[in-house]
Amino acid sequence: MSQQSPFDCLLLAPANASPSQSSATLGEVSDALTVNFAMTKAAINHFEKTSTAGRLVSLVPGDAAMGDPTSLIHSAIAGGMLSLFRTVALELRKTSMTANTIMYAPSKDPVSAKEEMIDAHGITVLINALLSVDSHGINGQEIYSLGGADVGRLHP
Amino acid sequence: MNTPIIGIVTGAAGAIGKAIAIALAESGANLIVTDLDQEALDKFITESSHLPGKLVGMAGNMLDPELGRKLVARTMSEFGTPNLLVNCSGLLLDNRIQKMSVEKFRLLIDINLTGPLRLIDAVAPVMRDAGYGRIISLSSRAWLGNFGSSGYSSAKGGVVGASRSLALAFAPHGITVNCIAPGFIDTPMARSMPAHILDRVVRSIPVGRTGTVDDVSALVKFLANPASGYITGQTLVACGGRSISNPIAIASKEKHA
Repeated sequence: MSQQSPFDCLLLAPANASPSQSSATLGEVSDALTVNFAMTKAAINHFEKTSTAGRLVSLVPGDAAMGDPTSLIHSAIAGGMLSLFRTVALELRKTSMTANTIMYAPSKDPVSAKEEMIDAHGITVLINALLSVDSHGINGQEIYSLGGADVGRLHP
Repeated sequence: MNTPIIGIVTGAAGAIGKAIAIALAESGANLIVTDLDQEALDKFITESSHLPGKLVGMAGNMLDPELGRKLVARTMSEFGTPNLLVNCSGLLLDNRIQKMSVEKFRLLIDINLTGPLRLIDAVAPVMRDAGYGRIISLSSRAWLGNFGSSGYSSAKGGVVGASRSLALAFAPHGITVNCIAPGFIDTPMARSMPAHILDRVVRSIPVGRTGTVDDVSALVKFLANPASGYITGQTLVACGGRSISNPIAIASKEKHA
C-alpha cells in the first residue's frame, strides 16, 4: 500500500480453501478475519487520506457462504466477512467508496488440490464492473455468481 | 418424545442469559449456567432456587480453550449427558472501522465467535453419541450489518456461517443447530443510552417498541424443544420488523413525497 503508487482498490479472498484445510483450527478463523479487517481498515484510511473513490471487493467461496458441512472454518470466515462488508458498506454510505462481495463457485484442482474458480473470466468481468468509477451506487451488495446453484436456497 | 432438557447456558449473568435460563428451568430443565462473574451467578442461582429445574453455576471465561471440556464434564457429573447448549455470552465494543483497533477486533472475534465454536466442539461428540442435541447460538441483528459494529457484526456473522455448516454436518445425528438474532432488546445496558438516541431507535422499530428478554427466551425455549427437530441451520431474527424496513426512512419519504 505504497503512498507513491496509485492504489484505489482492495481485493480480498478471505475464505478460499488451502491444501492444509484438514488441519485448520478455530484459531485460523480469528487470524483470517483479523488480517482481513486490518487490511480493510488500512485501505479505507488510505482512500480517505488520498480522497480516493476506493473500491473494496471481497471474494468468498459460495459453498462456504451457504454452509459447507465439510469446512466449519471456511463457513465461519465466510459468514464473518459477509457481515464485516455489510457493516463497512453502511459506514461508507456517505462517501465515494464502496464495499461489495462476490460469491464464486470453487473447484479443486485434482492434482494440486488447490482451489480454483470455475468461472474465473465471469468473476473478472464482475470485479471490473465493481471497480469502475461509475459503480459508486453499488455498495453493500452480495453477488452470487454460482451458476444458479444457490437459487431456491436461503442466502446467509 | 419426552426428552428432559439437560443443558449449558453461557452468559447467564446477563439479562438475556438469565431470562433464557429461567424460562428453561421453569419447564424443568437442569442447567449448568456460566458467566465470568461467580458472585453474580451465585446470586442468580439463589434467586432461582424455587424453579422446578435445577441450576448450577460455574464461572468461566470464553477465552479459556478448556472451558467447553470443563462445562461438559460438570454437566455430566451433575445431571448426565447434555442435550442442549445455548451460547449466549458476548462482548460488545462499538466503533467505526477506522477507530476500531485490531486488538479489540480480535478480542470481539475470540469471545463472540471462536469461544462459542469451542463450546460446540466440546459438546457435539456427546450429543452425537446420544443421537440427539439442540445447539442454539445468540447471533445479533448486527449480523445483517450495523453501523459502528465492525467487530461485533463480523463475529455474529461468523456464528451464522458456522451454524449453517454445523447444521448440515450434524443433521444426520439428530442434532439441530440454529441461531437467534435479536434486535434492540430492553436490557440495563440499552437503558443507559441517552434518551434521544433511545427514542430514535424505538421509532425505527416497526412494532413501535424495544424487544424484551422474554421475546428472546421464548424462541430459545421453542428451539430447545424436541418438537423443533425439523428446524435446523436457521437464523431467527427477533427485531420487531426492523430488519425489513425502517419507519423513520418511510416517514421521511412520505414527508418529501
